[in-house]
Amino acid sequence: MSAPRVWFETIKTNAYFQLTILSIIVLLWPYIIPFIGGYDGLAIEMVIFAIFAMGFNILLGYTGILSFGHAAFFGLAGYSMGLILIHLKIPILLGMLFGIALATVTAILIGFLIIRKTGIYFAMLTIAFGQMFFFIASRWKDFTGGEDGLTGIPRNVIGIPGLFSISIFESRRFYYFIAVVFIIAAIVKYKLIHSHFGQVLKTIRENETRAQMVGYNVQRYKLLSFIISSIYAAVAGTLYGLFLNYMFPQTLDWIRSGDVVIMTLVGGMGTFFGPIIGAGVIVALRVLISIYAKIKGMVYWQFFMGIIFLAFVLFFPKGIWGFFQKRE
Amino acid sequence: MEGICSFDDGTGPFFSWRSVMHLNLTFPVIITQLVNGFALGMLFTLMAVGLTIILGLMRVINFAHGVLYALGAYTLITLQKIFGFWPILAIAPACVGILGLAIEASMIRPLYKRDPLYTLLLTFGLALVIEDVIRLIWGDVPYPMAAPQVLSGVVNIGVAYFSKYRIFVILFTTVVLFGVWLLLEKTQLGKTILAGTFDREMVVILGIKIDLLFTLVFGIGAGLAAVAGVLASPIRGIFPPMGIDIIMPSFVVVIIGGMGSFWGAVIGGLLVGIVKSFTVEIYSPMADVIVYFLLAIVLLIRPRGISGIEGLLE
Repeated sequence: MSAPRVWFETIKTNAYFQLTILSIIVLLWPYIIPFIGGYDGLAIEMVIFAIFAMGFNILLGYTGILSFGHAAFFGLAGYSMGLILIHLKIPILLGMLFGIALATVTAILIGFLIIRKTGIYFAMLTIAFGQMFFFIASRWKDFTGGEDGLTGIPRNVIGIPGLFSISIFESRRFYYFIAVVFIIAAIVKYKLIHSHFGQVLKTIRENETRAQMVGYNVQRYKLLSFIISSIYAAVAGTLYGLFLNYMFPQTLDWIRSGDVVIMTLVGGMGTFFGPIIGAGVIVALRVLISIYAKIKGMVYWQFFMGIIFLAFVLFFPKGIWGFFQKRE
Repeated sequence: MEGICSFDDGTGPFFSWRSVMHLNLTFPVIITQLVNGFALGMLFTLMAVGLTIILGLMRVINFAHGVLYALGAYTLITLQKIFGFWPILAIAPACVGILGLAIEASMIRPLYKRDPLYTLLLTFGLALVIEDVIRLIWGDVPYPMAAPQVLSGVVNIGVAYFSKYRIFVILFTTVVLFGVWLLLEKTQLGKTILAGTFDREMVVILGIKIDLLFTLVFGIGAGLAAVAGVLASPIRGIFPPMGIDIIMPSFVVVIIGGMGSFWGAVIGGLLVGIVKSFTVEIYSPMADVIVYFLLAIVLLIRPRGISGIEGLLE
């Protein structure tokens, strides 16, 4: 084989090489993004949603289960972290852990209740339970701030008392904190989907009955997949709360759940890099559209997002990355 | 927006015993709320029946059902000056029904070969697009809509005062639902639809053109949504996200009632409507949340909903 061909094969097949490239791009991203008109805040948002979409892909892309309620875990984690940070003034990392743990427990409870349902029935149930949290966030005004949102989530230093502490107040520093979380999340996901566990998930996606016949406890694997993707959503949610210093009820809405579905779909379901690219593209598009595509001074973001949805569902169901790489 | 509409009245504390203990549930209040809940429930039922028939036969969750409902209401705004209120009750479902036929034939049909999840995503995209198109055409402001002159005001039936319009809504939806029931139970078309719900392959094998059936059913569902939209306008007002507001309780009604079941949708709709109405009276900030607690309870007791069809979507 010719030299470029060999390089190309290496890029395509070598996992450590791919993950290293990904890490380098993410670490250099704040320096790259100004060239395409971006800024630190945008880079932060892209990476947060990349974490969200990456985890969501474990459920949708690899297990073949569509949830339309993952924003609930995203928002629940953000809100509960915010509340405990505001009221108890505990260290940020501990607060994040609390938010993630609470969202995970919720995911386990909801998962137990609904995991036996399949396909669109499951999707409907996830929307319904997601909306429950949306309404709690928007109506319980004393506790969550209601429609005004939860303000004043602190973002000062992270660290372990007595060992180290780093300020993450400045946005560039906060970006690198998120980038580290992202890289860890990416490595964990890579290991996960290339493990025995990941293979079973793919088997369930391709043929659930067969997976069951071979002797796997399909329900348990599906539940685990649901919980793991919820943990990713929760991690992203806590980071989002820290990023904005603020949480608002719309972060739990089913429209937001639709956002992560479209990120995964646009990037490519069941591909490793797809959802990461999808998250970047959708976040960037939203900013571009809200700047340039105004009609009579109003932004019709939903319209464009809907059109993207229709276009990808009807014509490019494999997504951007899936166009280059076959679904794993 | 007034009375039973509870979308934006979450100003009080989420829960306080004082407000519950100072509750004044006298007999007239109970009766009035029962009628309000019944009217609201009938609107949910009208939405849920369309959704559940589509779901049962076509295995499609129609996210766009809410915006079709909104389009019904906006047809009322646009054509009311020309025709008045009454003809719109027929014109709106006809227009929106035709739109439904077009949507099914052009966009949903190509997706039957694929995973049903794609249809769900497609209707979700459609809902987003149509909602913004509504904003673009009619603006982002809410329109108040008065009930027709004959039906405005209240009527005293011995025990309490009732809104005439809500009583009309109950009667009219009963007639419409009876029509749907007749269509499903007493006609060849309805029998085919039910047969397709239970065993789609068999219907195809028997030589029935199921594509046409699907299109028709989708159109009927869209028409029912439009009727609900027109009827709801004087009660809930007309505003662009009205479709999104109604679709969630309607989904819950479908799940509570049981997938694909006509009577399940009716019972579920009334249950949700009445529970919601009473919660508004007892403690309004809980009104939107209670629906989902109800759903969780029903699912724990009866995983298939009240009268879900065995084996459907399982």
